[in-house]
Amino acid sequence: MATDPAVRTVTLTIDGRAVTVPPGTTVYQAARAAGIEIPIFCYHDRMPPLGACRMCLVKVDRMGKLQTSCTLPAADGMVVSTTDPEVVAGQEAILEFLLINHPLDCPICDKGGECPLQDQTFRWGPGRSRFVEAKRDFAKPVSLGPVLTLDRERCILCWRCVRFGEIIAGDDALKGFERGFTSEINTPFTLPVESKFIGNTIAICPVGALTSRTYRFRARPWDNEPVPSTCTHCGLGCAVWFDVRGGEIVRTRAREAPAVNDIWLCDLGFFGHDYVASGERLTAPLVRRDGRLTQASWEEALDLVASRLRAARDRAPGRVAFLGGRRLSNEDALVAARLFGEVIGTPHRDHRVDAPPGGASLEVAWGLRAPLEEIARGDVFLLVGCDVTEEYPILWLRMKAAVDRGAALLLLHARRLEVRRHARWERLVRADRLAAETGALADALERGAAGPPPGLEAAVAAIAAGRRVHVVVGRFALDGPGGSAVLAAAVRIAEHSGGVLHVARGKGNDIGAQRFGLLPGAGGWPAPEILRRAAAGDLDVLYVAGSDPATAVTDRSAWDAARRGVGFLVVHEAFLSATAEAADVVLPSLVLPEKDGTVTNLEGRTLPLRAAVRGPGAARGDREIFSLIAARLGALFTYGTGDELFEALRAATPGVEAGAILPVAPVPARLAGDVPAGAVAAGAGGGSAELILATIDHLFTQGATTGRCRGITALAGAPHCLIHPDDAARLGVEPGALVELATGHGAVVLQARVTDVTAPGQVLLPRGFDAVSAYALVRWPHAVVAVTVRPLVAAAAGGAP
Amino acid sequence: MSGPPARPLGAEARAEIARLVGLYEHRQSALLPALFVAQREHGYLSPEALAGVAEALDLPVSEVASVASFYRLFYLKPVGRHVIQVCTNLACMLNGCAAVVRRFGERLGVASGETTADGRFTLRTVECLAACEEAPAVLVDEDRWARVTPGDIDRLLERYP
Repeated sequence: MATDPAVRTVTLTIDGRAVTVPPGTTVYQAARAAGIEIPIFCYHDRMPPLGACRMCLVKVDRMGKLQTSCTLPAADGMVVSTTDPEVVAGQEAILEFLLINHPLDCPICDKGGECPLQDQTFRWGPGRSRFVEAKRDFAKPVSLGPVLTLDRERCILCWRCVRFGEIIAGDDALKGFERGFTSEINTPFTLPVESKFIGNTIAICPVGALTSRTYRFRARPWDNEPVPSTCTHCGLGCAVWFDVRGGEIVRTRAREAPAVNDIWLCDLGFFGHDYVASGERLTAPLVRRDGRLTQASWEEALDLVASRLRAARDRAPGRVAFLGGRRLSNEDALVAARLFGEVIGTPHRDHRVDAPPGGASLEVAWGLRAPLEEIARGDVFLLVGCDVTEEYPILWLRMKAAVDRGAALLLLHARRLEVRRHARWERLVRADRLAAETGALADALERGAAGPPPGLEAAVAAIAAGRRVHVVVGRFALDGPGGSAVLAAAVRIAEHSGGVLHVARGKGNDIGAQRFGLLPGAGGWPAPEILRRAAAGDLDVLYVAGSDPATAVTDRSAWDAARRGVGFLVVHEAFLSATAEAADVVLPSLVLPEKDGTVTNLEGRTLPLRAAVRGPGAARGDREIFSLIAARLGALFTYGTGDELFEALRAATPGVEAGAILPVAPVPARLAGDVPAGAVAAGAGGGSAELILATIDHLFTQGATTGRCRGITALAGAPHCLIHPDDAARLGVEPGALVELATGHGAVVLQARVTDVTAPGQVLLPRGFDAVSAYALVRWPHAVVAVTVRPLVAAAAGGAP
Repeated sequence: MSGPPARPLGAEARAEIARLVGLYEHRQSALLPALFVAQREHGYLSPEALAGVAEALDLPVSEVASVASFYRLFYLKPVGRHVIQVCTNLACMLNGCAAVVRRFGERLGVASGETTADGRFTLRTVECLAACEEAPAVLVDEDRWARVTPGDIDRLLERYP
């Protein structure tokens, strides 16, 4: 039965009802649109139909046998029944078949209560089984790494998880192995799964085959209270449900948000919220007495802070500075900006605690310049020094969808990205060559027909042919040597191609802090200058909230000097972080999952926070603390409710609306200079100063929060550095061996991973591992330093290559 | 039993795989022949060999391992110098393969799936060697033997030192 091509719709009959749908709609989709439920397992509406599970059988007039409605295109005049006795018998037979090997261990299965197999057996199942033979018997459960557990007996081989890895994430994390009766889903050799998105497979598994190791046996779904909020790890602001049981977040799930994360999350979002319930949370204010931090009352602590602020203000308002904002809500940032800007009157405020002096991060507003939905429609993505899956995983899912439709992915970085298999062009350069390479690409584009230099042809051709080009400049490029030159070249590329330049910089609520006043005011100092002035004795009070500068400032010595030079350090903290340990007063504060309010994501979109749980002990919200201090300084902030505060946000920044994007400031056409491209600080002395050290971003780290999430800590693994095989061979570094990295400023000992993921001539050191800080080795103003590598002990024999 | 030491793909195997890639429109099409190349070099498909094939073809390791696990002619564990595969499908069963399997087992002192202590033979039973017209069929390495009887077996084994 052919559809007339002139007909814009097709009309079919399902269970006696006429249903009109666009051509190409499947019978399953048509039925769902009409409110008629057809059971499914393998079909998932974010992926093309497969027809593997046979659960969606329907009867179609004049078609000989039952049809799988998920793969059957609706046709004009088609008459479909979902309730015919033949269909009922077919559904019962399929369910009986699917349950042949299923262990029916629902009482101890985490999926129980939210399990499509359970629900559909209840509604469509035969109620009895004729199967009396032995069921398939697998070892169970099998661990596939720190967060994923596999139970092959429960699996019905629907292939959703496998296809998620192939179609949505592009990481091919799970696959089918063996065949026929022995088919199973697994990883190669049951090794730990390698993915940044595996939590999604747990979410879409229609049975209890894939479950979470961190949530296992912790709750029944009907006992959980789901609270809608926003994930504040990477800064894209994915919508989440915090499932709360007994006052604790026991699980995080994706909440559907078509414009942001659709229905997906990364594994940092899924498994990165244990820290909220950590027993190490600060529960009472701490005041330094006789050199030691000791518990104090809020009254005492606040009075002390207010008196020191008042004294400093009376001397000169500019003797107070504020650092931080990443971990504050929009409302917190607004109140902080009022306290320090209006009440105290200091212009020295900056959330950009991790930006080095003179780098391009201080020259431009951070954030994406187009909505994620528009990026998904791009046809060229040029990533310069941006490791998209390590920094902004959900952004990659948008790009992956576009790449599958033919978009070109172009990679320019000092490390090979894990998404390189999807790239049309990849250029691996040493960190100090990034600016020159980006410049060469811009030059070649502008020269046009003259013919690009060897190696750049594919990139130039793709960009020249692109109509919706997105150039994404990441932190590695902005803060690396020649960051301004990279940015300037990226501006030229974007302009030449009529594309969009994105500044992929900022985590948590950095964009909200940027928007609501935690940037230097008139005559104010940027963060590195605040530190320098503090060290020089120009500040009486340094006030830190929503940041941990002791681990975030990219030159540890700059922070240490600032701490020594400033008379009084106040810190809002949830944990006794390195910054808090050095403070004069520590005020225990709530973390974002405990707050009501809003945050701003990298798009500039205002997103809601809902307090999922109460904070521990006497911990208070940051904005409440700011208000209490303001009151002691004679200023009454009268924000009665959250709504009133949001009104204040809207008044402060016209265009701010819940859920809507207010674009961040454009990138200036002309950029200031910085450390000249290629400038490298002198080495530690000795001969082999030809290696340089650069820091890279990892999604899974061991910082103050991530180090208190057991899944994330395990995923992060041991602190390590990356060395190219050529350099390793020359230096006698065995894979997995402990090495000492030394610069003129310090030394650290960690594991060496010998891999061609890094370019030769450099050592890459992931940041975010507080135990082994790269920042102890770096000295401003140099973005990279020469480093010597000394092997300490040989790797154990037979270590993985 | 310990297999040959795990090592990455050799230069010769890599060159041969590169040649194979050139024969096809899509690199992925070279996967099966490339797996045979790696298996010939290593004797079996170790995790390192699979990783080497994946790298040579720019495919995910998981995809390569998945495909390798699907086919019985790829060995994911070390095997003997010679692999004996006795068909036990219908035609061979009707023509007496059970006695052939039994005789191989007695002669070699191993059960199906096992390797002799001297590492010379691995014995396996398989489903259908596509030689029903000359059942029972036996495949030794890449040689096919037809209408095998228990009496043939001593002589057959002598041909594979």
